[in-house]
Amino acid sequence: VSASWFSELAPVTAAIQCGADTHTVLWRDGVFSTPDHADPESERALAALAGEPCGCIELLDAWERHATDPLVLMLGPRDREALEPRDRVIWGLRVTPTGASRARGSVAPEAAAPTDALDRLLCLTGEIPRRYVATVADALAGRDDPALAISLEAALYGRLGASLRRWSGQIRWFGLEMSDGEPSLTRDPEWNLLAATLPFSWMTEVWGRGVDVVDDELTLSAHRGSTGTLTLLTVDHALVTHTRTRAGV
Amino acid sequence: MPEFDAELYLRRLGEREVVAGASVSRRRRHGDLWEAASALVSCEVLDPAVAAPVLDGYAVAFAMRGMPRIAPAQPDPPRQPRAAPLEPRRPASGGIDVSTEQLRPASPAIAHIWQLLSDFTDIDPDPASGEGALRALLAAGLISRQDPELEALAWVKGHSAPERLPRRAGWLPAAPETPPATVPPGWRGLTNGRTGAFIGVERTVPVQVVTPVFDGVCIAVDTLTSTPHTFAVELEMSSALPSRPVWGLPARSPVSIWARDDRDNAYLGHVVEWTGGHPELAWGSGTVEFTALDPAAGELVLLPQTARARAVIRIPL
Repeated sequence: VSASWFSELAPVTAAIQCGADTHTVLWRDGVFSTPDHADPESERALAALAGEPCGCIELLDAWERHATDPLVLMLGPRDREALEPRDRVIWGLRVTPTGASRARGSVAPEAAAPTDALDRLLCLTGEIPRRYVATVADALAGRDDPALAISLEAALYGRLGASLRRWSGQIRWFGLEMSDGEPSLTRDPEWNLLAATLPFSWMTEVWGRGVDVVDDELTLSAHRGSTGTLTLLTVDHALVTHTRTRAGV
Repeated sequence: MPEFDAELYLRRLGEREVVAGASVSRRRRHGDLWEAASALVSCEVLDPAVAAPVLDGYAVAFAMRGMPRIAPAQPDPPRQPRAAPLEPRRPASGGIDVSTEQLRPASPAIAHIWQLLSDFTDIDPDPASGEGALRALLAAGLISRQDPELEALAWVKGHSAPERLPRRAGWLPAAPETPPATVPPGWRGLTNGRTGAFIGVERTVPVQVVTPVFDGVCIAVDTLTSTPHTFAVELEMSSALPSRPVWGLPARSPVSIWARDDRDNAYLGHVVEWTGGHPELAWGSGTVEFTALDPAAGELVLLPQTARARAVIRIPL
C-alpha cells in the first residue's frame, strides 16, 4: 500500500455493537484496528471456543479478507450515502432477522442471506467505509488484468459521477477515459457531454482524500509536496482549470 | 469510434443508477440496467455468464441503498423438449377460422424492443419502457440513429400512455404527426385513442380451436369472455422456444398476444392466471386478459405472435 494518499488524513472512528457492549473501531494511517481488543488473535480463539462471534474481530477479519476484493468497490460508498446491510432489505420491506415478514413470496436469495461482516463494515457510519474503498482501490491499482480493469474503470466512473453530482447538482451522463495522461474535464461538442480523462489513482489521491469537490471546484488531481502542502488541479464550472494549494485535509 | 464493450457499458449504467439513488430509480422498478442487460444478451453482444454477476453485484448495491429493484440471477425454468401439437378441440361453432403467417423479418435489435413492449407476461403496473434497451442497442451500434424503425417507436411513444413509454427527451427522434409505415398495425390500433375507453358487452363465446405449430409454438383457445371492463381468453400453449434471458425478474416470453377487431381497434393481452408450465416459456395454460372489447365489434382476431410468425384466429362475435 502506498502511503501517499492517506498520510495526512486524520484518524476516524466508528462505534459498533460488540456483544453487549458498544466498542470503537479505528482507522489511522491506513490501518484498521479494534482498540477495545488488545490481542485480536486470542480474541479469535476465545470466540471460536465459546461459539460467540465478536463483532469487532469480525469487522477486522472482513477488512483483511476483502482487502483486494473488487466487490468492495461495487458495494461501497460512491459519496457519503448511508448504506444498510443487505439482509434487512427485502423488496423494500424491513424484516426481522428470522425473515418473519415476506413480500409476496418474492424474497431475493441474496437478501435472505446471513449478514456478511463486509456489509457491516461498509455500513459503518462516518468515514471508515470510504477509507476502506480507497484502500482496496489502492491495492488493486496497477494490476495487469484486463477483466479487473473493467471493474476498476466502472468504480472510477461511479465515484466521479457522484462527485459531479455534488459539484453540479445534476445526475448526468458523462464520458470517461481512464488514462494516466494529463487529467482533464472538457465538454464534448458532438454529444454536449462532459468528458473526463483521469487515472484510476484519482480514486485514492482525490476521492479517497475527500478533496473531490473543493470550494465549488472539481478536483482533477492532488499531489502532496515535500512541505506537506497539497497541490490540487481543479476545474470550475466554466471548465477553466486552476492550481490550488492547501495546508492539509 | 471506440469499440463497444458491453460489460463496461453495463457496469457504467449500474454505477449511474447507484449514484442516481432511490429518488430516481424508484420511479420505475424495471430499470434501465435490467433492460440493457436483456437487450445486449438477446442480441448476443454480451455473454450471459458475464452479465449475471454484474447484475447480482448491483442488485446487492441497490438493496444496500434502499433501491430493491432487481434480484440476483435466477436459473431458467425447465423448458419443454419440443413443441407438442395440442389435443384437437371439438369445434364450438362455425365461422371460426385459423391460419398462420410469417412476419416481416426485423433486425434482432428492433425485434427485441417491440417484443419487450408487448410482453404478455408483464403484468407489472410499471412495465418495461424500452428506454434502457434502446439506449444500450444504440450504444452497441446495433441500431442506427437513422433507422426508420426509430420513427415508428417515436410515434408509438408519442401516442401511448406515459407509463408504457415514458416521454423523456433524447432517446428517440420527435414523434411524427402521422404514423410512419413502419409502425406495426397492432401498435397503430392500440394508440388510436379509443382502445381502453369501451364498456364491453357481457358474453361468453366458445372458441375451441387449435393453431398449427408456428415458429415452434402451438396454441389452443377455448373460450372468450367479455365483461364491461375486460375481455379474456382461456388458452393452452405448447412451445419449445427459450425464454428471453432476464435476471432478477421473471424471464420474458417469446410470445406476445395481440388482438384486433373489425373497428380498427387493437388490444394487447397479459397473463392474469397461469397453471401447469411457465408463461415465460409459452408453455402451460391460463387466462390472458385485454381491455374491454368495443361493443360494436363484429369480429375479433386473436394474434398470438413470436418475432417471426403468428397465428391468426378469426372469431365472429
